[in-house]
Amino acid sequence: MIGLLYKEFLIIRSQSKIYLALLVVYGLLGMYTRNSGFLVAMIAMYSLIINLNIFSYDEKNKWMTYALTLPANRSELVKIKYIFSSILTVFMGILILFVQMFISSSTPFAQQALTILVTVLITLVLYALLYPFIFELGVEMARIMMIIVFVLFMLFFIGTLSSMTLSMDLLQLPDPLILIGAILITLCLYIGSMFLSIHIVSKKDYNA
Amino acid sequence: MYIRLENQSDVPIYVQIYEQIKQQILAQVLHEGDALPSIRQLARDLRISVITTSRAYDELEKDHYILTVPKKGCYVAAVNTELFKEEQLKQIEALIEKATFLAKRINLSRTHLKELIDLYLQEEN
Amino acid sequence: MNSITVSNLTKRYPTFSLNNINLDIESGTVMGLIGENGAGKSTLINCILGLCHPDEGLIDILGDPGSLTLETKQHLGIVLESAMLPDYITMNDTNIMMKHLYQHWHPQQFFDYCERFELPLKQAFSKFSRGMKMKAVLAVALSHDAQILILDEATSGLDPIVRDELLDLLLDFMNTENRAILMSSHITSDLEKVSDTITYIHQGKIIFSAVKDDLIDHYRLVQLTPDQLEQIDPAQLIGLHHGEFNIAALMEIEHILPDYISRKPTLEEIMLYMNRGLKQ
Repeated sequence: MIGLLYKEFLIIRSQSKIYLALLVVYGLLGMYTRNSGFLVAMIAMYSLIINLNIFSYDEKNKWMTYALTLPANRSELVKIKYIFSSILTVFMGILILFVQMFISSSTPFAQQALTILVTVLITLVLYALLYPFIFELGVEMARIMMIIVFVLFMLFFIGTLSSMTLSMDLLQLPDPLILIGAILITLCLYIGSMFLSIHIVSKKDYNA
Repeated sequence: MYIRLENQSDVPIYVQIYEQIKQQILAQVLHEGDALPSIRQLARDLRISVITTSRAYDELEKDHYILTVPKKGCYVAAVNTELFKEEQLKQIEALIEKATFLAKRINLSRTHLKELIDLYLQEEN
Repeated sequence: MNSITVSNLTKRYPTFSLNNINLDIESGTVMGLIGENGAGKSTLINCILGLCHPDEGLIDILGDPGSLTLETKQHLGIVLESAMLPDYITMNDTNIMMKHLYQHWHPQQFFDYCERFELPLKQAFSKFSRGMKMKAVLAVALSHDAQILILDEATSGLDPIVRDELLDLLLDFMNTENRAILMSSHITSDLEKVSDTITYIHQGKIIFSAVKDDLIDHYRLVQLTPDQLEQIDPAQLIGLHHGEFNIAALMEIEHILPDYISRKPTLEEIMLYMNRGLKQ
């Protein structure tokens, strides 16, 4: 599994310059517009871009076919995608949290952390919805759906979250139970999606 | 040891190999205890299948020309000089048959033929 | 002892099916798979590798029946025509990846192959030429104590010199006991060089599966005069080329008469003439 996971990380290295540049650009945008919605949306955006890129390359290189000639099986290959996506999203969340604290130290930490957490959860739910489609139809076919969801997502974030951080009324932290509930639901959706994807992939032919 | 495969011969390849190794053993070109190439080495060298060289070696072993030492390989077995003589005799008979056939064709007399044989035998001395 | 046994394999597609394939690959032998494009060679290999799901039949590899387990894959080295390493991976990365995938990965052996094949260690795979890509994947296949190599059109698109090098490597691989190779190619001269047995697939069926030398011992390519042709029972003509100035036929050696001009056919000729015969 580790070997396969390693391969997923490689694409970041090969495209690291682009990602770094994007990070800087959006970071500066966020700073100047005082709209941290940008930065937070970046968690989702980055994660999505990287993961979809990997899927794209995989399709072009016929990665599934090659990987199945190695000591790897279908369910492992699906699990790796889900594991990697979640690691990446959580990592981006933590990264953006630090960046945000540096930029807008006026807003309390708890608030920022909450926003980030919600973003991470929503991103994971997004993956849960998207991945079975990608595994079934391929990246290109799923792309249309992706674009729609992505645009809605961005609008939601830049629209609502930025107003959320400005409005102090929402300062009260929600009941911890709701938070835990949200995390559990997300996990259930995510893991459920994984099993659905495993089922899809086990039926497929990956001809050379 | 050297094998020459006749490309257009009707004799199956494994038989050609069998015959050539056998002849070399009987003619003492290959001596008792000499190591033969492995079936794989021989196959690779001759550009043929290991199954074919394996067959040839199996036949040679069956007829006691070679023996297989487990984990070591194939070796030339003790040569039976009687067998060698017998082989040579067979060949001589075949040649004489051909010679007499040709002689009859041109109506060569028995005496003339015998004279020729004497001539060649004498030359040896 | 068989390295691979295929029993009653059937795979149906809308326009093509692989029908009732039975095949044995004996340990210690190299099997060459020949056939026209679309005959079913790749489908057969895809089924053996579990890349596609057969409709019927059983595949047994190294005593492991049913779908390939991770354990069995440890002992397989596979080179396919178009599925390879990712674009952005380097040979160094590949080493790290394979180290964690294979129980018996030999880094030194891998790097030795990379050096021998002149593969740069830090360059992205996408920048390799086709020949280099093939060699890289083969280097991986040869560096983990594999017992069986499976190659699907691995030499197509390569120049004769590179092909010859690869074939030599395959023969070197076979020097160790109890190994086997299954390779498909439409370059019959390559198969002639390294195969022990040849299987000919045509439109999803096996036409013959035999020891290479037996095939060449058994058939003759005969040059005929029109009179001679008339005398022959058409059933004995396995394949016929009836040109304006020349008549040639593939026949079994038992049916050859002394006054025929004949010679041993090449593997390619056997395939071509049989194909003609099958079309009629």
